[in-house]
Amino acid sequence: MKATKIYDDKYQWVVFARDPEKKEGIIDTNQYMIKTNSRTILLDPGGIEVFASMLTAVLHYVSVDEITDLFASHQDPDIISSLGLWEEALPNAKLHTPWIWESFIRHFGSKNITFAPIADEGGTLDLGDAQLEFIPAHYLHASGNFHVYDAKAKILMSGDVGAALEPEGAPMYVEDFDEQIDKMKMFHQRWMPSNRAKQDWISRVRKLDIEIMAPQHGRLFKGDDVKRFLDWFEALEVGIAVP
Amino acid sequence: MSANSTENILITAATVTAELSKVKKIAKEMSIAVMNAKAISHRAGDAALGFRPITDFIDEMAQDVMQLVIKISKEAFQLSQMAVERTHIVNTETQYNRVLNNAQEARHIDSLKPAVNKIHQQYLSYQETLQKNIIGLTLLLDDIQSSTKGSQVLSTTSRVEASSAGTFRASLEVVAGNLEEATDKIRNLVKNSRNKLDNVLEILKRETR
Repeated sequence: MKATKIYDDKYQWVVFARDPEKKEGIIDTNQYMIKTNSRTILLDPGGIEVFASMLTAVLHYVSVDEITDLFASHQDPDIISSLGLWEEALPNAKLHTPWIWESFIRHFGSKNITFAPIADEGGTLDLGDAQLEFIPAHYLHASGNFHVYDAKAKILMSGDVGAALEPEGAPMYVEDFDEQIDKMKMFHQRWMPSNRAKQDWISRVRKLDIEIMAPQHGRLFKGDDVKRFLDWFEALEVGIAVP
Repeated sequence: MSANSTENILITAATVTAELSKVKKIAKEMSIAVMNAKAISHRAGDAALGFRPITDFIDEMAQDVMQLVIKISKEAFQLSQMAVERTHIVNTETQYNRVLNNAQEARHIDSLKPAVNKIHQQYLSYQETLQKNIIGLTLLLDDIQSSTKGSQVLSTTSRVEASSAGTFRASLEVVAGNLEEATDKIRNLVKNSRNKLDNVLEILKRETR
């Protein structure tokens, strides 16, 4: 699995993606790690199918004892179905996840991990050098859904917002926004159910200082492409599958 | 360790439960037939005097079998649950071994070893408990075979007693015939389940060696 540092200062953000061992027919996912001196969190650590590749890649950066927290933006299998596997190595880690999905996520073979349910309004997480904010993104696409914002690194991990269906081995960053639109359009129109939720999220996210918007599938948006994305998303009608 | 053995355990547990529900049904039918035989022998009066204790014995045997079936079904359900939990451990160990192989160059690979050892211990513990559980089930199945062991002798005795029951002879001979048929069926079903459990036990023992 390819690992790319997207922020490197007193602490690091790393994205793990483009797994060459991934089985055919499984959607490619971006997993994120934030490592500070005292704690490490994995954001949307992925499904069972990528677990071995993901853990292999992570062990190049941290020991399992250093992983203190997991975050699942929502309950989908590509986000967190690996939970039962992670638990075996991380008996003391906490899982931060929308409160409404706790009892659902436990179906992923979870026995021991401590759940830290996130209230609908969101919350914060102090990782020492990094201060994270859980930004509500309900109905984008799951009915309980959070993104992670790091004001110091100016990174928004945006879950399925900004996601794209890409061919194998796509670059990590958007290179031409207009070309990216075709890869994102159907995904957002079909997976995002609510125009109202979308507009509310955009109005809140526009107030954040974002240098990198990092979705869970496809490429990351950098600099002006973040604003381009928000403008494009604002004009897009979603929830189109209603007959 | 293979996924096949888990599949085998699950299929065996389901098969044993299904076979035993047939056994329970036969035992219930036996119990009803015995009530009928009791009524006949009561009407036959002194002519069927020797048949009465036989009906009591058959009734007791049918009740024993039904009780054992209930117990075995519960155990077989627990076996299925354990087999599913074992699948998780088997898959987990496979995944962690993949990481150990692929991450040999990783700086922090050693930090994973305690977790891998713990998982392997869990696997061994499941193997041991599963074997104990299966042996327990086979013993219960043996109890059914023991309960029905005397049925052939009983059937012959029933026929002898029926022959002296005068006008009720034909009815009581039918009862004796049914008893023989029912116990044969039960014994075959139980034998089949026993063989399946023995096979799984053998696979588990081979894996643990």
